[in-house]
Amino acid sequence: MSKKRSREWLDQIEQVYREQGRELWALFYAQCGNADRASDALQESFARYHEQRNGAPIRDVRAWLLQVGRNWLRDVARRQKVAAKPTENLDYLPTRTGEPADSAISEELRDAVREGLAQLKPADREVLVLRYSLNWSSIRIAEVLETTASAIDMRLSRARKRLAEILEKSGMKHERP
Amino acid sequence: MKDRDSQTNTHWSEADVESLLTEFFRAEMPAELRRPPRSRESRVQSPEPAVLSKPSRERRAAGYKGLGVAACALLLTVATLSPIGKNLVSPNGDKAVANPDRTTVAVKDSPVTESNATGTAIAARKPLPTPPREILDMLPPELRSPAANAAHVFDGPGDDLDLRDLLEIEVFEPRDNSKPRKRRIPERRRLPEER
Repeated sequence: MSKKRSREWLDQIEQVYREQGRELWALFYAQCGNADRASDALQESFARYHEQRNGAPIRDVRAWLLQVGRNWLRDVARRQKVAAKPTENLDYLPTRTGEPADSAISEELRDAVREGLAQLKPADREVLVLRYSLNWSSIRIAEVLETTASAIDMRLSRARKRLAEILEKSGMKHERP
Repeated sequence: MKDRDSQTNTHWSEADVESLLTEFFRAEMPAELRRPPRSRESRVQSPEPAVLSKPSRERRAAGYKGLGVAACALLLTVATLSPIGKNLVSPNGDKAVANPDRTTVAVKDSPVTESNATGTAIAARKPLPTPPREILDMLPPELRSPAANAAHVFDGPGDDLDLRDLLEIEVFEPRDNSKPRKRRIPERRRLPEER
């Protein structure tokens, strides 16, 4: 394999990462509810993709990466006997320490949101992640999930209400400006 | 329980949860992924440095063609205003008569309405463009000055023109510079009074 072909292959991977990485991360996050683990799944899927240089050609790269990342998340959860519950993961996984200037909410509130998202039904968590992490419209989410936009709107409203209830139950106050 | 209720007197509305989730994912998402990839449409519409190039042969040809069309249109306009158009036949068969001052043409036995007269006056005030020299050469000598052209203004809608005379003009005749130019001046039809 010449250097030129190797360089082209790396460029191709980089382009796929730029185009698909954000969306894949969100889908992994919706599955596991943990930002760091979602990043690990993304990295793992692209590492496997890099190894496929001499393998069989991949027809749908996005679907392939998504499947690899989901399988990896499932294996990790099974190995650790953890059903992707961030509240338990928080005990041994490093907490994502975001830059203070980047976040307008406290770490305590972020933990509460993580916990609330984990307690939601997978379908509710999925629409919330797609809407608020990727800023997708209801129409686009409906296309991906093969349903109607009005159904997505209803599911979003229901998920927000449930998350609000969870936050109130956990004693998190909303500080109005 | 009472203590908790008293502490959580500030309820979370859906709008509050919306803004909270937006901020939450802004902090959660890895920095290298926060910026969404640009869509294909935005990439297409992104401003690119303008590349100035010389006009191609096709562009020049299109420009010349446009000039030719404009010249033909101008020629037809001038021809419409020339004495050729004085061979007027009204729909009821009456012959038209030119006014002595040659500013307008009235149809015999058909009264000139006020709106017609107003339109004539407005049209007469508009300055006409000076036609190119090759077109001027095709016109009768008395019509070569712009003032003379401006004087020949029709007040009718033009449906009473005898177009057969207009079609006799050799518009697309190729020019041969090696030979002296052959001018074809359309004959002016005689009015009934002149016969």
